[in-house]
Amino acid sequence: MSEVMIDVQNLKKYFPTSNKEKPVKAVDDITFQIFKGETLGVVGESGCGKSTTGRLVLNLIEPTEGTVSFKGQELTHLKRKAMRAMRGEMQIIFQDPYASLDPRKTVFQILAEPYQIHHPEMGRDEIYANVTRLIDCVGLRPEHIYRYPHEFSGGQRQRVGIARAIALNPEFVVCDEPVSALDVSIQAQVINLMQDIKKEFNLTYMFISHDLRIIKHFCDRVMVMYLGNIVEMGTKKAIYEKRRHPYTKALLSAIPNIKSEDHSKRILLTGDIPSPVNPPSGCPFHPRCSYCMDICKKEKPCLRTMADGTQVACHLEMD
Amino acid sequence: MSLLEVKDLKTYFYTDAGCGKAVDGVTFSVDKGKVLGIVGESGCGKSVTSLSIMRLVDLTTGKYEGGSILFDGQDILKLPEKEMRKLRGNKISMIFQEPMTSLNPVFTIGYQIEESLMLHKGLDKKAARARAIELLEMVGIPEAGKRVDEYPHQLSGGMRQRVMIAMALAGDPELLIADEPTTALDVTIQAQILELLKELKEKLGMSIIIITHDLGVIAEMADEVAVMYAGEIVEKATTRELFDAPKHPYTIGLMNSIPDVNEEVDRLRTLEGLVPSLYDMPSGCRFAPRCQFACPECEKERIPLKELEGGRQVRCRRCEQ
Ligand SMILES: Nc1ncnc2c1ncn2[C@@H]1O[C@H](COP(=O)(O)OP(=O)(O)OP(=O)(O)O)[C@@H](O)[C@H]1O
Ligand SMILES: Nc1ncnc2c1ncn2[C@@H]1O[C@H](COP(=O)(O)OP(=O)(O)OP(=O)(O)O)[C@@H](O)[C@H]1O
Ligand code: SF4
Ligand code: SF4
Ligand SMILES: [Mg+2]
Ligand SMILES: [Mg+2]
Repeated sequence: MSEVMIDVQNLKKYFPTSNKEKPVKAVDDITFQIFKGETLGVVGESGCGKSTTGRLVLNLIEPTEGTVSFKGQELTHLKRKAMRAMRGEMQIIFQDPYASLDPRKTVFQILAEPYQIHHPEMGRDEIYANVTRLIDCVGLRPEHIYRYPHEFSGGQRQRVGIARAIALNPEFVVCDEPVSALDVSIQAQVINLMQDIKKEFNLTYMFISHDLRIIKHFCDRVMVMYLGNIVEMGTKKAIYEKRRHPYTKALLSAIPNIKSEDHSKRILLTGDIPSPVNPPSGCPFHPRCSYCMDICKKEKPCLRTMADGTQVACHLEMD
Repeated sequence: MSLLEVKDLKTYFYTDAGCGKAVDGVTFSVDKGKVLGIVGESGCGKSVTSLSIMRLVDLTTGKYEGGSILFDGQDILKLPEKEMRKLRGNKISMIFQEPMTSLNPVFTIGYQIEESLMLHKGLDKKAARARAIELLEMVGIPEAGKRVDEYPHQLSGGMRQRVMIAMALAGDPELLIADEPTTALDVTIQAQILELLKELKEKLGMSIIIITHDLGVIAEMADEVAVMYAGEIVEKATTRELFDAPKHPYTIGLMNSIPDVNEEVDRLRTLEGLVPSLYDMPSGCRFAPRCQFACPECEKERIPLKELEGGRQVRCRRCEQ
């Protein structure tokens, strides 16, 4: 197995609500690793804790419990200054390219900022050279650097977001729904760009998306989350072909199919997503699971490792 | 028989930037009990087309510049506003793109549905409440009798979208326009909503116009598809024909850029370039700047929508036989 880049141990994030006894259990005890050079896809329903996990991994928010380590260094209790030095190596690309870019700054100002903060020794010429290199790398034109975000299309804005994320040559990038806000035809351009950049800079990605087609195309391993828990994790092949966990089955069967008219194999989930404030007893998926057994209502299943290395949290017999 | 016939519809906007031809000569019809899908890139005029049918285009900048919209043989564009108000929310209903903005946060969902029932159907308070609960049950809201007294923020995204559908159904519409009804939802909830729409269509015999940029949703729901590009329909065909053999270079590019779950590719195929500005349309084929088959001929004059064998239509010089 290759080198571990991110090591997450028993991570929890509870957000307080007006009722002290009942916090939002956004992330509820998850453990996983991300290896150097891989792309880990994160999927799951809206509100299952994907973005919260991404932010925790980057130490942008503090966990309620548990630890995150980056290349063997624990981030959770790192001093501010030490964390700042680490920032350049870990970056994030956000979903909404408009909201995440300051509308009052030109593209040049936006892209110069990381250098000004992290490399105060850099002169203007050097910064300029770096910014033009970045612009070129993400497929924008040199004259674009003096424009403001609103003068760009969604796809171009997302390129600026990507350029900013890779400015300091990070090793690890969290991509939180980087193409969800874009048109189908633009999505493909941005995905290809992210793929090129990954190769060029030897990046490791954590890629959050609800588009299961894009996850399949882009990722090496996939982590399926449900209500703050990891319910299945494994190689892309194992997840898409074996579909062991009942939730994974339902999720993958729900991808609208373009090529065939046969939707009979679709598993329709009944009921809405339960609340992370009041998670169900036992298996968090049990109220919607068609395989639900007595034990599922009482006992929460742990992640078990299958012969092919896939981890699944379910009481059903499987291999 | 066609329930709705849109003929050469032109909806333009007049702003500081000039005249924006958001919908520029669009023609289509929807038969009773059928589903028409409209797809196309952001800004191509899908919502303006549907708002025109509802006569809800913002007239401070917008203007219906031409064409007609026949509903049951009657031209909607010529109806006095008072008559239009009777149709809207009644025989023609719309589910809007963003559910949270179309539900009023300060009223319970029950109140909002009951209001509409009393207004359009002349029901009294008691009957309206009973019908509201029935509608909520119909769209699959669990414990509808209790949920009816909740406020929009107490519901999940999927439930809110169902409430929107329930409201749209309150007037027993003959035509339902659904503008991106599932875009804000994740796949499992999306599947539920699509299933629900299909079921309602079967049960109530409604006609539906479904607008989306998700070709998967179209494949699943629509009998016929209109592909729009820069204010025009560039291709129209039955859903099967379109997916089996797309003809227009834009449609082909669109389909190619979607990763196929059953196929491994190294790189996604892309459709390079951008849609033209609304205020600066190419005078010839509007897709020419991005089209790999473009030749000088294409840029000379507007390309007409031509009917091919079997009745499908394409707006492209290459496809004329
Ligand atoms: N700052 C916060 N305060 C309180 N609750 C929060 C906060 N941030 C997130 N949550 C809650 O935590 C849960 C997980 O949220 P998160 O944003 O991680 O979900 P997600 O999986 O990214 O969803 P989506 O697909 O909709 O982006 C949700 O129930 C959300 O409402
Ligand atoms: N009130 C308005 N004033 C001026 N221009 C408008 C107005 N409403 C829409 N437009 C313009 O008309 C064009 C078509 O807009 P429309 O909302 O129909 O796009 P759409 O196809 O629904 O896109 P999306 O997929 O993003 O919803 C756009 O260029 C838009 O900017
Ligand atoms: S543990 Fe039980 S309820 Fe949970 S997914 Fe497995 S079978 Fe379904
Ligand atoms: S008319 Fe010409 S430019 Fe337009 S789509 Fe056809 S081939 Fe391309
Ligand atoms: Mg999120
Ligand atoms: Mg729209």
